[in-house]
Amino acid sequence: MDRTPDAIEVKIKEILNTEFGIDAEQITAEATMRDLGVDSMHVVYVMLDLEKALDVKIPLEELNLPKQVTVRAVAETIAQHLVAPK
Amino acid sequence: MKNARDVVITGMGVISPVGTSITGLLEYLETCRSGIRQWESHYLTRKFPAATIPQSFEADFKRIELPYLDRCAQIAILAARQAITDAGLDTFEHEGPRAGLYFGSARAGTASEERWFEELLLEHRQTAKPFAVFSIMHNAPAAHISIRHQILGPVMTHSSACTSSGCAIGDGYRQIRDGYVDVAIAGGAEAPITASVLGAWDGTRAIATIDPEDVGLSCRPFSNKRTGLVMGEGAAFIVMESRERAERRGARIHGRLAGYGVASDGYHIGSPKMTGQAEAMSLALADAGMAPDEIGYYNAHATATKGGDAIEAQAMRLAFGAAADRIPVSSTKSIHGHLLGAASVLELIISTLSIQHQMIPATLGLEDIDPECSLHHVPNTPLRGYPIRSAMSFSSGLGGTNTALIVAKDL
Repeated sequence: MDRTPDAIEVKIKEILNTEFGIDAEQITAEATMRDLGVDSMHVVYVMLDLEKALDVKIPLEELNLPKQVTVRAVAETIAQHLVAPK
Repeated sequence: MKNARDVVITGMGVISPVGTSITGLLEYLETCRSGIRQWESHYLTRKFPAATIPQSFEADFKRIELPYLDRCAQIAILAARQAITDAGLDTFEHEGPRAGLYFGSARAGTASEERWFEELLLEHRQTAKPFAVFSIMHNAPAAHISIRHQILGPVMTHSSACTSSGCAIGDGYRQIRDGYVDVAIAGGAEAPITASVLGAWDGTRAIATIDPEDVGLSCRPFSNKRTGLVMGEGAAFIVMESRERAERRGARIHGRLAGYGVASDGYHIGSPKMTGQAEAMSLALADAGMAPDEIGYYNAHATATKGGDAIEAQAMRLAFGAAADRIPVSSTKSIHGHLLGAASVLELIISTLSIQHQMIPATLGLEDIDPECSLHHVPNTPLRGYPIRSAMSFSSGLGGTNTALIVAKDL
């Protein structure tokens, strides 16, 4: 599966919508996780789902995401930190 | 004992097998209608009688909140909100540490814990979902209520089996009485109707069999026909305040929490002892400054086990003396089952309603009274137009903790 920031952003939006019921229209690239009501545990859940979907390992401990992180920034950070497929 | 400050009840809320509002609960009590149904799980071959609430509460929450919220937390939040709204309150942020929350539960996030064990043992997952710890932990319901209503003083969770919410109410009552807090939300919640809990309890051989004619009659406290307890789910809360605070803000007062007694058996992990029970009752009477014959109604713990009901009847006789022959007694578990950690608070609310509505609830299914449980029973039909000024609600927990709470008409 495509592991570019664009593809990861699409997948993040899909997970936030299907798993947590966040309105798809609210989940723009520039929306912050906090604005969407997403906390650090939800982000961990998203990461675990992404690992499965992309067949990769995401080193959560290295991501160091800021509190006001946007959907796009999460996608870009993940794309930078992907390690070899499991 | 001299009470430093009067403690009054200004709010009540309930989500139970016999009504999901105080009005609904009152209707069940007045008609002596059972909330006991048949329950089964694909994990267990035996079918159980269980007092369940036949609805989901997930629609009351945002989907993004739900992974954190076990059913126990959901019903706790809803019942606490009812009680707080009933008291005409909402947020306690301006109270700072002068507002407290006192919660009781024997098992809390049981269904969430069972789900994680399914994932671990059946699906061979190595790591739980990130929400698992938060949905299982015992103090989660209390924490969710404190966050929602900004309760910033003590937020305490008691776990003493079937007396958990009795101890929680007693704790909050004493904290107000002795001046540590001015307002307290107190209660309990339990959502134990899961295969892991029912199967474990089945191991004690204390669970009732399904009544062959009417599943609603499967819990028969004090009866010769009793076969055991019926597990129930539910949540109930009260709001307590110092009298001066309640009167200052013009709050409606449901009743006065007049006395609390707690004493332990020090005897056996699973068998009760009469003297420990009687001690808790006597301590509550002394705390209230009441003589036994001033109690107008006794809401029994009686779960419908063979040994337990008879011991409680003896304990009541020991504590109340000759007055035990005159005080109407019922076990409302016959209609709402045993809510474990939420039992005490539900039964205290029922006792409060009995004073407010001059109605003594009945014990359903009590046609054939066990002579060893001889008391002044109210079988099958509630006593109406029966004015009383005070009531005792007694609870006894596995492990040996006993609590007695006395509620009185506020004069």
